[in-house]
Amino acid sequence: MLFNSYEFIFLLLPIAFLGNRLLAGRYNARVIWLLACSLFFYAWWNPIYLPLLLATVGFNYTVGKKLCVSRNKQLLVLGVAANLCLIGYFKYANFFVQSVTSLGGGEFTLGQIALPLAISFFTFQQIAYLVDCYSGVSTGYRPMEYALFVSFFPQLIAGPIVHHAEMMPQIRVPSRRIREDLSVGLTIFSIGLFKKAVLADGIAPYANSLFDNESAWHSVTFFHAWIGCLAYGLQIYFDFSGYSDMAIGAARIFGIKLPLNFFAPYRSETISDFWRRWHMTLSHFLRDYLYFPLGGNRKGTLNRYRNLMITMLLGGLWHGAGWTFVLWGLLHGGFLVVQHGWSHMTRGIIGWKGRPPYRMAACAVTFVAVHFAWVYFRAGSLDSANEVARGMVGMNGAAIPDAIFNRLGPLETPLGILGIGEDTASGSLFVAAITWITALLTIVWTMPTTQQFMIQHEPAWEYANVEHMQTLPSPGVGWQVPLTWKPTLGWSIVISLISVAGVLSLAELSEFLYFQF
Amino acid sequence: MQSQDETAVTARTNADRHPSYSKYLGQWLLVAPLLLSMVVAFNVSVDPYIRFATSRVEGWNAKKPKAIRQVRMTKAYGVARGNFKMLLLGNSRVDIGFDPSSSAMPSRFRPAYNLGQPGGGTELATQYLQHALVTQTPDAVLLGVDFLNFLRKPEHLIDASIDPTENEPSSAPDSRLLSRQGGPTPLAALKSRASDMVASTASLTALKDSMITVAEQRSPFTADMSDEGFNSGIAFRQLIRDEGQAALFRQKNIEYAQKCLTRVAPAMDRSTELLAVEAVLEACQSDDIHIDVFIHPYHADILEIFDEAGRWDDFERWKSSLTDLCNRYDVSLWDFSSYNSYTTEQTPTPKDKKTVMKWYWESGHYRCELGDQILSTIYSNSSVAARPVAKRPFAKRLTPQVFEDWIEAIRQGQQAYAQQFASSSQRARGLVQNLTAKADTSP
Repeated sequence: MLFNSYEFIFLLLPIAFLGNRLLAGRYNARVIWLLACSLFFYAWWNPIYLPLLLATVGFNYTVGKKLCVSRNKQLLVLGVAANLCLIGYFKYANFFVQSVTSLGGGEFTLGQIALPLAISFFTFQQIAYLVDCYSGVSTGYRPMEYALFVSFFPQLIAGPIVHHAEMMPQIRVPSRRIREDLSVGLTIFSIGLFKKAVLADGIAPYANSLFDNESAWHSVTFFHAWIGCLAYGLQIYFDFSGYSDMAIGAARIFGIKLPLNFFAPYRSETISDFWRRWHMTLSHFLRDYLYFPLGGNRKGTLNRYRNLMITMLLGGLWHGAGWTFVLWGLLHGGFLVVQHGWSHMTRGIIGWKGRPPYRMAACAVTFVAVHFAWVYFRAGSLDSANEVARGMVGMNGAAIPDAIFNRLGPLETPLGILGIGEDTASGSLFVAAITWITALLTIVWTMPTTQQFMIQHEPAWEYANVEHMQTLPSPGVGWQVPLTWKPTLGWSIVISLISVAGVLSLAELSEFLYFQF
Repeated sequence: MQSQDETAVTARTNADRHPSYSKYLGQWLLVAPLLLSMVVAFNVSVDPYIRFATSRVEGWNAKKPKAIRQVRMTKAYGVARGNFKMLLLGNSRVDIGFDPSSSAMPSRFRPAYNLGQPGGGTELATQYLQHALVTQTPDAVLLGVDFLNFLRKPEHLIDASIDPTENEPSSAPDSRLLSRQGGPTPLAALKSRASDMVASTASLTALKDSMITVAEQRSPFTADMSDEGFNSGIAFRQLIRDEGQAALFRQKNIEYAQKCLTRVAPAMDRSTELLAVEAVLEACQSDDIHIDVFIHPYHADILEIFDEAGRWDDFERWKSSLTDLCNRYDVSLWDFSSYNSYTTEQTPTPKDKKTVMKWYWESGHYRCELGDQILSTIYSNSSVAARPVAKRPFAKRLTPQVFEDWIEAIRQGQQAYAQQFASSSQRARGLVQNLTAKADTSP
């Protein structure tokens, strides 16, 4: 079931809330009720993988329980390996077999292996749990509690990747601020729905028209390449931002504060900063369970760079089994290496780095680098990705639609001197795409994040604790309209408008980009 | 005595009872449904996609510029609302080229409905015909067939031994199309109709389109679709003012040249397009519906492109197969794709943004004035076959007996055109040569 569906908004969410309220005083019944709702949510799309989810929950619960009792390293390795095999089979088996056989010039696949929904998320979450059981961080839970922790529907399908220590105490001690939770939860959910259904889906056609159409990406010229790339960058930004808000909002309706997963990543000044703001819980997982165990930055610069590259490569592969994702990960790894090299070279000008011109330039460079990499993330093939990348660096020339070119009058000559020609693309689509991109970039760099907007009401798990709050990223580059939500008539009208716009957008069918990872 | 924690909990609980949250939720629960209802009422009153056939009011919703963007839905419900004596089938050339309320439409075939579907071949036309036949049995059908629909992307060539009409409709747009044989299940049809209902009343796109509909009423170039499914094509006038007709011709010619160069001609007995034509003929025959088939009056630019791209032989073979097919079903097949005074109409110069051609919007789409000529040619006599062909140089009713002579006449017409309008001929052929050269030099 998708968050942006009638079934979820008008059926599951209200019924789950009412059941949760009715069972407020009975802990076990409430846990079972929320678990049942979560499993129904999962099975709605394709019930065939529900037994797989339950089996993996049962397996990891059993292994975790044993690890809590005795720190058996072999058992931990077995448990982690079993999880990796599961995800490896469903997600990477065909990719691996195809890659190996193609080296010999052959073509062979294992047949169609459908990817079980959310397998990457519930696998990572459970690997972290096993490691914590082994380390003594977790003392174990009851079976239903554990199953709910893994499958709680607001975070099951696309994250955040939740740590048991963040969620379980909240399930055990329910919030008593029912009306506040409901007001805040509905508000955050509505904002998320608007971002996803109106903004992300609104700009999506301009990205799709480039990447999904060979006649469009083949020999694509400079402006069209950048328009398609920026459109995709903004689509995935608002898609993921919207999803993260909806997850946080839906959980908050039940009085549970999920951790932040997204915090103004296009305001970043470095690639490291970008990863502190983009898919934050995945970054934490990769840092804690991959980068640090690899040695982190403890064994010299070269090892640090190697570890960064490995971490980002696997981060890329986590997002999808394909060479484009490998390249995307490698590009980010390369960016991180360059960034650390630059920081090292320029350590003498720290004072400059705090000044607005440097910060804005750093933000612009980061933005361009991230978007260059998005091409490989979005493209359906290496060919199309390379072609779009060539277009973005001007190797395919530059042209604008003749409908626009013909209206430029005296500007035609200087454009011709600059080598900018005309093509037969639609002028109205060109203008519409630029209008969308401009509007959404304005939102990105001038509007507060949902969390800043809701800051007086502990909008995420981190905000409930001063110590955790201090770990959050800074607002980043850009000016922010000082908007703060309060339960007033004015905001109720504004949020009603936003939520109605979101609901009106449900009639247009769409899927989350972060849906099948 | 309360502990510190308990005090905090009590304070928070009191804070939660603060009336502002209750008021906020109450206001939200009141305002949101009210807004939603207003949107639905507005969309129904404007009816941008002619989904409900709400009365057209001048200055409010008389013109329907957005219906042409939702034409699949608009025509599916539009044709089901009436009981039409004639249905016009085909692609966008039919959609824009034939006005069912034109005086050229024989009175015995009125009311007529234009079921032409942009971007669709005869396979789609077959589905829409089946859909219409569930609610009515027209007296006549006029089917426009297109050589460009016969050409297919290489990856889209399928095993033609599988009857496409046997496939269970699966997508939402398919599910809205009823059929007496193998139509959607009642549940799928219901879901599809509910989805269309919501999309045209409670969707942001419908709201935006309703607002645009109202805003564009005063513009003289607002696109419109009639209740009989005719797209007036008037939006072309704005494009012509902005870009000139030469630019429109160039854009379309490039598109067609690319299609001719990249698509392939399937074997005649494996062409899903020809199978679909046969399915239409069969459906009409079994319901005793008079049907005429015609080949569009392609502008000479397109004919030149066919030839330069090496498609002329395929074009003639396709015509031959159609001739045999229609002859087998004793159905009239009219060929308007010749070099004549209509199709050789010369385009204005590139800088000319005022001249509007008499017969064509661009090379791919002719105006309804030319559509009227087609109707007159086909229906000018109740026994059209008996009429001397020489009186209609515009077209030929193809039969196996006259086929070769007619084809030869077109070849000669082509040579004459190349001499008489050498620059026009070379301009169209030059586009193909440029594309071929580009393809040869690309890595």
